[in-house]
Amino acid sequence: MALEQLEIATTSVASSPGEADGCLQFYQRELDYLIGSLRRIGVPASDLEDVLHEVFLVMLARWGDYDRTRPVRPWLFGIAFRVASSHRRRTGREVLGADYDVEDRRRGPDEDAAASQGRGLLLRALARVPLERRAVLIMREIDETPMRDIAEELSIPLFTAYSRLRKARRELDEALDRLQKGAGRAR
Amino acid sequence: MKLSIASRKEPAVPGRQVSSLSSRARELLARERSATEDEALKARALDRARLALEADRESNVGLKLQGPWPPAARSRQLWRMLLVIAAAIGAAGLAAAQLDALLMREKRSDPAPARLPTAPVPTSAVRSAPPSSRLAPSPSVPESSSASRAAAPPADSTRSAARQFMSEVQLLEPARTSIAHRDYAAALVLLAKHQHEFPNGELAQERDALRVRALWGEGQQSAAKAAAKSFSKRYPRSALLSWMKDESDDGP
Repeated sequence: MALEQLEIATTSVASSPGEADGCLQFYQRELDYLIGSLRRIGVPASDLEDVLHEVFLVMLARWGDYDRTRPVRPWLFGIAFRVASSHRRRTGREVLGADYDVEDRRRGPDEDAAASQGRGLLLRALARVPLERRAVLIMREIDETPMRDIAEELSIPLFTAYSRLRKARRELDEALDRLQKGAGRAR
Repeated sequence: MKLSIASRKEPAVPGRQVSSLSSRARELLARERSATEDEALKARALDRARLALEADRESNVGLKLQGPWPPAARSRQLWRMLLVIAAAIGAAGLAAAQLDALLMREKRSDPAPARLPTAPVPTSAVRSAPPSSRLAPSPSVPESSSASRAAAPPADSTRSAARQFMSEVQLLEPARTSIAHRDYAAALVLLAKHQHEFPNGELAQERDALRVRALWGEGQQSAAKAAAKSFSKRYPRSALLSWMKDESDDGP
């Protein structure tokens, strides 16, 4: 009996390589967005690669079900948020935004120092906003996702989304103030 | 394939004024929109993704989630079912009580043979039929209000199901990669671990299919055949089961 005669299993992924390749191309195109989203959600730099791969596996598993008429980034963010939340609970770790600067120093002299400092500051401030509110804030203020899509993607009522956004905005401003004052005192 | 990056236009919702951000925060957030990432990290991520696709093809088993993402917790589905059954029993009891009361009333007021009412309609149900539209949201309602809790899905159970799914993927993904690299013994160890930790997990079908493949690769032909038969018996309609034929057993 040849191995092929014991053939079990052709999933839609395995049986339609074109579709899987389409998913890979799409993943490649959205890598900046996905990595950035995971950083903003609070995945530590040391875990980014593993979490990103988990996101790809979920994308691949859900690719056939993705409604192509819907905006893609809320869908991607929903996956990234859930995978990152799951990772955070498993490992009990979350970045406090500090490791972005450490990693960033390895990026060479061409990098705009002021911009990267600004990014580090923003990531540290975001880390001080509770995760569920942070997700709404990121989707709204960075991804510019409509509130209805945010509520739908995060499976929360619309008014809860608005309430979280309001609190998150206040918390982000307060965190930025505190971080800037702290930096001022340290100088 | 055309994918829509642009978002839907946001409908105007009255009373939806939310406090604005400071100019410093707005500036940082705007800059973040065009942030680019480490090229080396992106290259490594792509390599891993390609390897995962290769494992799909080599093992012939993709880790496909059959239900929605995030997976619905089984306990939630069970509770829903119990609630529906309880509601049905309650409604039947209420209808029986109403019918009983009606018959008693008619017996007292009318000595003639009682007429059975035709399809009694519980007026309370008509009065309280909820509109299909959603409750109008109010920005002033705090997030922790009871209305919010009632409308929100049971997030904890959904999260726990998503967590379990990812734990399963973390065991099965290396197993598929091992099969793709012809390291069947390593795959069998991981598959046994999955069997032990998630006997009825979301990816139990995929695990069992991978096991057939790994056993065969390892040279354990009779165990592979037994596992294949057991698979087709357990999942007769499985999408993973394309065909299974044993010419050496059935052939001339």
